[in-house]
Amino acid sequence: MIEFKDVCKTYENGTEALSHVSFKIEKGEFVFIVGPSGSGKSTLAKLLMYEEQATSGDIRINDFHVTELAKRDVPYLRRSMGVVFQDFRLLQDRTVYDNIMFAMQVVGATKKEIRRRIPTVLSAVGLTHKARSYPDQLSGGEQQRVSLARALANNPPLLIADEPTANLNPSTALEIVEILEQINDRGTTVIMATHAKEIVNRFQKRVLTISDGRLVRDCEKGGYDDGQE
Amino acid sequence: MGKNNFKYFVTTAFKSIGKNALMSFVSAFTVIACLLILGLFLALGINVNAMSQQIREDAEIKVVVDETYDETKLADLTAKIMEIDNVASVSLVTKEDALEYMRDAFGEDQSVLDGLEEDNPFRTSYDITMKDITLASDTASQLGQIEGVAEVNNKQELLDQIVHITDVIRTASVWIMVLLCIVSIFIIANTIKLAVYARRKEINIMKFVGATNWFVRWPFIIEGILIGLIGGLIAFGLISWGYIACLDMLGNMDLGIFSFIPYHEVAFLFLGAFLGLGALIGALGSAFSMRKYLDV
Ligand SMILES: Nc1ncnc2c1ncn2[C@@H]1O[C@H](COP(=O)(O)OP(=O)(O)OP(=O)(O)O)[C@@H](O)[C@H]1O
Ligand SMILES: [Mg+2]
Repeated sequence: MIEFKDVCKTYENGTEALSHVSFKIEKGEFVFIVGPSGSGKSTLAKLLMYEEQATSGDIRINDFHVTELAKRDVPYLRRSMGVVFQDFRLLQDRTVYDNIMFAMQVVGATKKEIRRRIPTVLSAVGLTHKARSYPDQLSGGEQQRVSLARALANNPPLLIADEPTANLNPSTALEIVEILEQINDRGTTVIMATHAKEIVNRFQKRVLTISDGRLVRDCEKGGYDDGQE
Repeated sequence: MGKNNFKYFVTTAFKSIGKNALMSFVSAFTVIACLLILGLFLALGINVNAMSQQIREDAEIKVVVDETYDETKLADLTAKIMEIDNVASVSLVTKEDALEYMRDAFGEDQSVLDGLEEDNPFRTSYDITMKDITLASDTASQLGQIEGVAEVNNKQELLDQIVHITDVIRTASVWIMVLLCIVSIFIIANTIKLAVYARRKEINIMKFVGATNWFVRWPFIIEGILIGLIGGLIAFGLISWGYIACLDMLGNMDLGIFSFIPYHEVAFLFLGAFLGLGALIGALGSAFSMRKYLDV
């Protein structure tokens, strides 16, 4: 489903954020991307979301040959994935319901589809009762659940989360990852970049470790430090 | 662009104008200024055009016969005038005819003309119409060379003068208008840039959920067009008011043969031109902004 082949990313200022990274992720996997700060986790997530483009190498996501993508196909690549960020990125002047609706309107969903889908995703993240609340009336964890619901709204086969728990306390963080796990159980591929050791150790999923822009470990069902010499 | 989307675009555009009220107002104002200049020129141009048309239509050449010319040889003179190629018809207006016209014109006050029969102050003349009016100057100079012709009155000169003045007005207003249009486009572009900035968070979200470039752009394009249209409507209101006020003022003045074109005949032209140009300026302004600030 996702394949990186010898991918390098050097930013315009000369920083080499990723160097010769290769891996494959199959449909339905749950993968943690871990590594110290500045190692290149966000850069990897941005390459997946097409927020940045690889300097060299080859990236494929589903049917998209990302490294040779035509500009007009970018929106369609992005529709094939839901994304979640550390800072939630909710529109403060809209209710929870309207925030999710916005994401669906933007890709041309009909009113009927919107009415049907929003209750489903809100219940998937356990926020049915908060539909009419505004983001600033919600806790951090609840806000992150809204952004998760938004990511799921268009029913993408892939979910990418860059440090979704970094702004949350440990127990709330745990809840979020549990929801991600449930989403994964229903068949969605989940990729989560994080440096939360406890979480990685607790869930025992596949772990890709990046250090200094290089993929240094790839461990099936492992902990944060597994495979380290 | 589906029906759903269109509704979304327009609502978004209106909300954005509301949030950005001051700049939207300033932009609309520059559009109004630009269109008012256009309107001024249009109003002048249309009327001057109509005026020259009327002058052209009754463009006759009047030839005054020399007082010393032997009246018995008028038939010769008539024949000579007829020999000129471009002359279509000749009609003789004798001194007596001229006095008669005058009497009619004076109506009840014609008694002041009593006694003039003895010493008629009018001169014998010919009214000449032409086959081709554009050759009027040539014909006039040919007429001037005929013996016994004292004076040739050619309205072509007046026509030329009017055309010249119109040209000057046209050139000046076109340049002022072009300049103002460019200013309007830039100010609208700047307004849209601010609108893009105000909604950068939304745009970012649209981008990562997979909105197409055009989906992101349409509301801004529509916002620009709306500003242009609002400017166009206000300018139309102002010019209508001005035109009617001018007609009221000038309508009472006797300008001889000429009458101004009534408002209802120019209203649609103004409305069409203003809305069209307003929308165009708005669209260009936002397109300009999109190119620079919204490469999603
Ligand atoms: N836009 C950018 N321009 C230049 N350099 C960048 C840019 N973004 C990231 N970098 C650099 O690339 C390297 C990798 O950054 P990245 O954000 O991928 O790290 P990270 O693993 O996500 O770190 P963190 O855990 O702190 O989020 C860092 O050295 C960073 O300074
Ligand atoms: Mg990061």
